[in-house]
Amino acid sequence: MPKLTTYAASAEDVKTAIEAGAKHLILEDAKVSIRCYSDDYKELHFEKVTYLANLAREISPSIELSFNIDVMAHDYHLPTITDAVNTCRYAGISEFRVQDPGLALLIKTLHPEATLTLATETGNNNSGSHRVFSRWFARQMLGNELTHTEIAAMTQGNASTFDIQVHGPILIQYSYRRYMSGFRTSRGETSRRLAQDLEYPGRYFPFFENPHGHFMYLFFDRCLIKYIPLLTSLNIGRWIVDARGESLAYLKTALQAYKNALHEFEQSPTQYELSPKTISDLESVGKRALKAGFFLANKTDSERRLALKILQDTSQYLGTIVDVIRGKWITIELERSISVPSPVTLFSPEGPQVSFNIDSLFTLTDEPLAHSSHNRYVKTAWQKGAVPKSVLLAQETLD
Amino acid sequence: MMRPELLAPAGNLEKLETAFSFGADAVYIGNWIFGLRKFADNFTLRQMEMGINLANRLGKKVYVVLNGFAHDEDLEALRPYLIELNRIQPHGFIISDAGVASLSQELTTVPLHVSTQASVTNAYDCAMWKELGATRIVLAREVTIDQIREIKRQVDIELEVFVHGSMCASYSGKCVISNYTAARDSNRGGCIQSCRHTYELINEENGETETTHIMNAKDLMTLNLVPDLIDAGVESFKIEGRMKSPMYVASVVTAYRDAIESALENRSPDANAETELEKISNRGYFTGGLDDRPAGESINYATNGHSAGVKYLGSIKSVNEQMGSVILSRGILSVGEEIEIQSPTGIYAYTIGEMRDMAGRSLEKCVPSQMICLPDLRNVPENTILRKPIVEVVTENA
Repeated sequence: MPKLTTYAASAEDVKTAIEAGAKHLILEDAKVSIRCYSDDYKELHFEKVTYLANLAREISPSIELSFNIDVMAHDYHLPTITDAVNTCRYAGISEFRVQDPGLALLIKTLHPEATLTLATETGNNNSGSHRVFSRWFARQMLGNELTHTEIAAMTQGNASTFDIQVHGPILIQYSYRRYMSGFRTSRGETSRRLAQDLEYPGRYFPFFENPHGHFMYLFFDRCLIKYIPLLTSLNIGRWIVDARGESLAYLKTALQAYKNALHEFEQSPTQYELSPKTISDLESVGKRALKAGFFLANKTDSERRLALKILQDTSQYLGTIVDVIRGKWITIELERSISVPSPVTLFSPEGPQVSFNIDSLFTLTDEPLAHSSHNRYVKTAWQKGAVPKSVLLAQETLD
Repeated sequence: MMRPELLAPAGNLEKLETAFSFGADAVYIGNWIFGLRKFADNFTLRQMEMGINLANRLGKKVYVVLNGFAHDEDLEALRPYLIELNRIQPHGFIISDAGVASLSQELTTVPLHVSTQASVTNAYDCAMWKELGATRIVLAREVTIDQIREIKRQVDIELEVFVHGSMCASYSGKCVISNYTAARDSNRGGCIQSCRHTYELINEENGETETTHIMNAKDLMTLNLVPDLIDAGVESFKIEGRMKSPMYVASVVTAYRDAIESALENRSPDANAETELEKISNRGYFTGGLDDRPAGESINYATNGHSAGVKYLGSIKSVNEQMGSVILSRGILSVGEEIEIQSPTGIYAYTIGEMRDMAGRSLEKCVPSQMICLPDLRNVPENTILRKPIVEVVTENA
């Protein structure tokens, strides 16, 4: 059974999360937890984490705890990270979550018994990468760009060592630069705005800025509540409800929704049906639409990838047309040697595809060629459909 | 002082030859498969082989970019490609994905360079990648020179640093805007540069709105930091811009070649170098994150356009007795027009006296993407650049 997991940076977060069904809390302190919305910057050390850990255990002795150090570490962060790890160690927290993989080496030096989770936010989307990082990391976060079919194929046999975000805002960009404070110097350490991309009007992206940098979120929130049977079948160890930056009502409602849905599904998998009220409850506490994102399908670049497959067979690539004099010549930047006659196919950037024979070849100085030899530029008779940047492919595989 | 490598972008063979002609020690190139410039100029395997052979003859190097973030389907497609690449032996792979890195180590003997897309910001990251077999790290563009010194002190691994060109607004690789807004994978060659768009910012508390290019990063330019970067132990100085013109390659390589040689010889660099860089298309310059954390001055809030002081007209493809210089035009050239010839030995004025097309017909004017010859332009090497001074303009992107 997956463990419902969420982030907590305050006593209110801890209480609400545990009461709503969280079994694992990722504790945060804004000094090293970069997407944390609490203002911890004036506190020199990490006493808050000890306090939150004690509080959580008081409410629920079986609660699992980890600590989030997802800063992209520059040298100046290292003493603060060291302080955080040492404090956690004394507070009995031995699991750490990092974005910057190299921090595994530092944390293991400070706390040899620590277990680590890698959550890179972007990338780390293939089984080879997971295999490499499993040398240092006991757990890894699945990327939001992965589909359920990819996840099923990648996690066979060890799905319980993965986390997945099931609900909440989707981070789509992280910058070290603080764009908003740079734009208006009067703005404070943290600021929030909604941003509308004027090339895609009607989409409103939450912007959040703090001393760590700038964070851009998607115009909809990830929500997988409709796919509980599918999610459950993946056997992923932790389901993360991310309510950072949202209200306590959002945190509570989302956790309860997944807890109840999971419970109902496990009680009666064949009879399970999601209540429409669950969706309306979730919608009522959020500010954005709720969607599955790429969980069901990811067709990113699919059409362009298909077109590229033709060109990827470089064994047939002859060259590119660089100049066309209508009715007279085309000039080809030739990559491969050819002899005349040669049957070729022309792919025009404007769309048409034309097959024809190259029956004659000439140097730029109009000397006839039977074979292209080492000439990089050759001329041949004009061909209808030829435009500059057209690609020529041989109709037979070249040597 | 150690002599660093000057590493230039090459979107195609022409730019590779241009880079080498103008003084680059190495170039980085990509294929249609799995680079981040998938739909722009790229090399076929055959062209890569030609480029690598040329580099070997000249004592220079060619690195192949494989810096997308892979899904499992990509790893499968990469296997035969890596085997082919191993046959032609580039001098390094530039990789950001640990799965791709692992596969390249399994299937090839090509050295592993870690791409800036991996956002390596500290010595621990470097040590981890070294353990995975990396010989060089392209540091994140957010790392300062002082931090580079510290990394160099702690880890024995080659360091490569971007010194010039366009910048990602985010930590490189930490952005998936295009994936969700345009169905194009930012980290598999499909970035649509949403960070250059115009955004309306809304303050939900008071309803105030502001419209600006909030994430539009200026271009990196570090001519004045070259001595410090050499002193910090950086092995490779990298220029961004595989999609940019041969003129860009020629101008930037010339400027940084001079800056490096000047620093090594402890003499003043060419006083005109910065002016030349101002002339090529740019979004305004700043020093990136190398001297300090970039703030408001690193963003061009006012416009997402480019300014330029010269226009690229084409490159000389070949020179022969019968035709003079053969040029693939990239702009309109007219007989009688005064233009500039940019060669590795300098920039010269030239007036177009005669022009012919590939059928030998006399021309008064040519159009872009037309092959022409200039019969009286003979004593110039191949890959010489033709350009035209223009009144500095700012072109607003659509």
